[in-house]
Amino acid sequence: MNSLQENILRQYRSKFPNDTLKEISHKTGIQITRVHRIFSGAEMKISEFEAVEKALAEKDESITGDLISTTYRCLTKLKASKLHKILATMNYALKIEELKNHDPSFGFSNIQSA
Amino acid sequence: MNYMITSPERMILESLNKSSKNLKEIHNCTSLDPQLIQNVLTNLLSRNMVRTHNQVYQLNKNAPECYINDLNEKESKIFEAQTLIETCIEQSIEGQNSLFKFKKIYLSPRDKKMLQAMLINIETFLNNVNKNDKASTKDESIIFWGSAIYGNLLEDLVND
Repeated sequence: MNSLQENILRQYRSKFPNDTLKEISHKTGIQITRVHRIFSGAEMKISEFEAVEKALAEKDESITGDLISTTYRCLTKLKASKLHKILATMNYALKIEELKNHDPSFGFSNIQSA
Repeated sequence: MNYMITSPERMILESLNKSSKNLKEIHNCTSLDPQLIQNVLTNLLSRNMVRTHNQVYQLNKNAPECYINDLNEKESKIFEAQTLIETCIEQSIEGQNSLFKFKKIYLSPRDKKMLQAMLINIETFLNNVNKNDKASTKDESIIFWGSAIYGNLLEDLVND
């Protein structure tokens, strides 16, 4: 399995951890037996790759839309104290995500001994 | 805005507070992902909260006061409790190992006194549990208890 394929399948599993083969097939339009083979390591065709990418993007679009519209309603209706709490929650989640992710600039070689 | 210290950062600081450790030992003590540990340590080193010598990390007892204050900051503590309790509720609902019980009930003044006495017992018991610096931080139990008056909570929730 090439790294590009590995990466997109990992992304899919992380966004839809509970999807069954049938659900993956339904979302991507790829035949269920083929989905099984792909997740078992068979090389993906370009069209299959694009179908998985599209399924990932669809989820992103719906969440992005909801997030933007809800944020706008919050900004117009909520008090500053509530907005502050929401902002803190978002920043907290972001910070944990950033700590989880590998950032090559975070090299240990840059750390000086005390 | 103050620096919001996250639970993984706090856990690593708590682990180093027991004893200085190398990366592998921190991993064994916290079970956090090694990459996450490295990123947290980089953060803590840049903030002078932690020192390193021969690949062993230790708490900087002379850390700048402003960074120590971040640890004890009210919002940061509320966030820690909130996120841990929230995760505990989710795990409890999903039938995992965590247990979360929650009850809404009218208590007569006598019942309130009885409950208060039991809560004091719990607190006394927990305060007297022997401190074990050799135990892994990941194996520590998170325990929470308390009570509030429903109406008071709702009043704050709605009017805040």
